[in-house]
Amino acid sequence: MKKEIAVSLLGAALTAGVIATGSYGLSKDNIAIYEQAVALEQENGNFGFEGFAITDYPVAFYDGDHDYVIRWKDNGYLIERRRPVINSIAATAYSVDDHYEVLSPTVEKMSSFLGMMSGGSWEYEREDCVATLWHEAFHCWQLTNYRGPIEALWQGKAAENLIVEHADTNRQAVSLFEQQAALLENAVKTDDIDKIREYIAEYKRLDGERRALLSIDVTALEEYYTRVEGSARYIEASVYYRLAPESFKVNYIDNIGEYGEGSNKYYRAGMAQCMILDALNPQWKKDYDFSQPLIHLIYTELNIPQEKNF
Amino acid sequence: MIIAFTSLKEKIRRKEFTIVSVIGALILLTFGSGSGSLTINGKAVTDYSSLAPILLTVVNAICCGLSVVMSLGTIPNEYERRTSHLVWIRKIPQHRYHGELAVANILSGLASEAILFLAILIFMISYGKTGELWRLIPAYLILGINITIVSAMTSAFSIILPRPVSGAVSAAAALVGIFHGLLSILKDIIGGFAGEMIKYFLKVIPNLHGIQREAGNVLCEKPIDLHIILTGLLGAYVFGVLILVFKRKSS
Repeated sequence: MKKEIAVSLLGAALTAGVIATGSYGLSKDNIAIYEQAVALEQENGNFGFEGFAITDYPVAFYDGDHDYVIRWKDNGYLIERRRPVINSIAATAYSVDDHYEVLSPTVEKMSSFLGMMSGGSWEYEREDCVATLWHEAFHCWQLTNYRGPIEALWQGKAAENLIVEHADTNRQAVSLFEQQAALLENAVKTDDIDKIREYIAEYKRLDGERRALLSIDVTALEEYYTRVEGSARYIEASVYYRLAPESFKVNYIDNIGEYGEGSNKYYRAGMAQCMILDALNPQWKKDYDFSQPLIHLIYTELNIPQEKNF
Repeated sequence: MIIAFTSLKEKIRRKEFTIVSVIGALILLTFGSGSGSLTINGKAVTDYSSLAPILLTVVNAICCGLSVVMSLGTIPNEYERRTSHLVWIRKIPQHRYHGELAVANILSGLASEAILFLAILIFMISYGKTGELWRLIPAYLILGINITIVSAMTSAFSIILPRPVSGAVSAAAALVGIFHGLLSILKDIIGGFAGEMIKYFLKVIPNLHGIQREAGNVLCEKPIDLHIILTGLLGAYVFGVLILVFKRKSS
């Protein structure tokens, strides 16, 4: 009988230990990430985009089993648990009922995912997570306020295949894009307006050549990515700069000129165009409504004549 | 414990134990030497903090596989050879008999782990980590939880299921446990019904991957998650209790 009691006690002790050490609800790390994202809004406002506020959009952290939705209310926040909206590892802006929400995996889930996919070489840091929340919140704002111009630009799904099969396989177009991206990187890295004008004039010349090589569908999708995703990456980069200035250049500036298969290169190009606009006229984004290509705003600022392609 | 030690001696005398352990140690030395061609995303993996967890992944996989193989036949063989009758006439209860045989299974798995850890010891010395060698002991004990789970699980199933079935179930459960992390991500990627099914499997099968990761954290001086270790111990406990509870017809 004593043995049975001892075995039962061991089981009870282990069960108690498992319960006591388990984490329940949203972890402190995720809450801290949300608080840091909100603190940035309080310190830096809307980064120049009038009407944009991350606190306008609920943020839902997905832990693999549930969504933990954080809503900003009356200078504080409420957290509620619900069934996952998309049940998948994805950071995205998503329409829930009558509004948009930021959906993001928890930092633990994302770290584990990226760590495993990269063999441990890619660590997802807190600043990455905060910057991602801002990126997706910006999409929520875009879709809430500028759905018309965005849908006029591209109505279909973001079709990665179209880019990979057409833009990325056209060697001449690839070579031209590489040159254009290098020019954008140079323009971002200089403060000399004459140099910027020189780079952008050359960019425009190459752009005309490149557009002639690709179908209207492909160039429209490229423009969608550049304008919509590029500006969101710009916000993401602005946030990242405030959180981790020491690694900002390596992660956001030095790779503008890199070519890669898929849509990410347009994110970088669009972000670079926003940064160039900042150098030319920091007020550019105050009334920006996504109906104009970013590069056209740059041409206007530099008095470079342009054709109306869009 | 005479039954356990007699059974353990018999296992260690078997060739497959030595062969698998020595081959495993050689594989580990090749990976750990830095001269191997292990690459991730096209980049050679040569630094200690990247290689140590990979070596533990290999040790975990080999030991779990070996534990299934060595535990699968122990109890059924006793009944087939009618050795069990020699035990019954000594009035030894069945649960104690099964328990001691399962202990022999666990100890043989831990012995193979010890042989493979010798390769990790050499790896650490070659990376100048002599001051950190003490970390091998907690890492060994944590990884030993996995071996205990797999050995106990296979032993328990071998009491009540036919050998091919218990072998298949144990091997499948060990595989799911080893790939727990990957399957957890796969569940999130594929979603839907299949994702839900994977989710439920993952809830009932011990997270061998998580325990192995914690052992790696010990070696790499990272903080450990006590919850995963305690959950693993609880899993081992449950299978241990099942060994004592499950009955088999004596003849």
